[in-house]
Amino acid sequence: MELFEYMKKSFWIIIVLLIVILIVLFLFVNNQTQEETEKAETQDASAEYQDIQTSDDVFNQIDESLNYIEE
Amino acid sequence: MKNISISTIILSFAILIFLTIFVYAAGSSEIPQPQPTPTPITGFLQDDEPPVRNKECDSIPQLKERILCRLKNNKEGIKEQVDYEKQVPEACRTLKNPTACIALYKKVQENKCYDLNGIEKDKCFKDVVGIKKKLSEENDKANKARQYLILLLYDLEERVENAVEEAKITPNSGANVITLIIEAKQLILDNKPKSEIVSKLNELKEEWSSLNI
Repeated sequence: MELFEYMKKSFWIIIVLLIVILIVLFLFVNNQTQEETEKAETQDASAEYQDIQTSDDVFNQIDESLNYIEE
Repeated sequence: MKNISISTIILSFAILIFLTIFVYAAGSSEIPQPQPTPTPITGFLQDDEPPVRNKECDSIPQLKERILCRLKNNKEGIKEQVDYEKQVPEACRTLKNPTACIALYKKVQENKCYDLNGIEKDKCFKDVVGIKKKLSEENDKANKARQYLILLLYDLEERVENAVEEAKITPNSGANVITLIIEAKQLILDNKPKSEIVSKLNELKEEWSSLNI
């Protein structure tokens, strides 16, 4: 009987704590994913990427980059 | 009763901590992204196999002759994955401190940028260099521009090597262009002024236009 009471109590404590931990973990993971998405969006929006297919594209990029090299 | 309550709580926590490990592991595991098949990067020598021919190339004192030797080897099917732990890229050899230069080559190799195309390739280059916004708005833009130029020039080098392998151009023509590319990279890495770099790049453009690739 004592064992039954003990197990019954343990079961409910575990369930409640498990739910709390799951909620905390969910909020933590969700927050991290949101931060990463925002970071990627910011980066994609501000960076300029060129379509590099041919050697002409490469030379165009070379000429463009030369503008930022000191004389 | 008090004893049972304390032990119940301790036991509950122990079980929960144990279970949490699995929950956290499941939540933080990454889905493996399909990686493009690596294409061996050529142009530098490797100490291992096949040892004789590549060591022969490496011991040639003139840059152009070394490149020609490797291009001929590549054409004959001796193409290798470069191991930058063991060998120094040609463009980094003349530097007093080649560590940063080798690190750049290693990073672009690890990211497999040269297996990509179009915008993805450019994005990969810029990620390697650390360009996160417009180059004009970047801090340390001169240094980043120089690193970005190295990667672009390496892209041209890859195109020449492929053209030689596909017999679109002769190894000799390929060696002429690659020599100019490496000389331009050496000027960039050596922090030479823009005028010197532009002059070398103009030579390269002229030579490139005669290749038809």
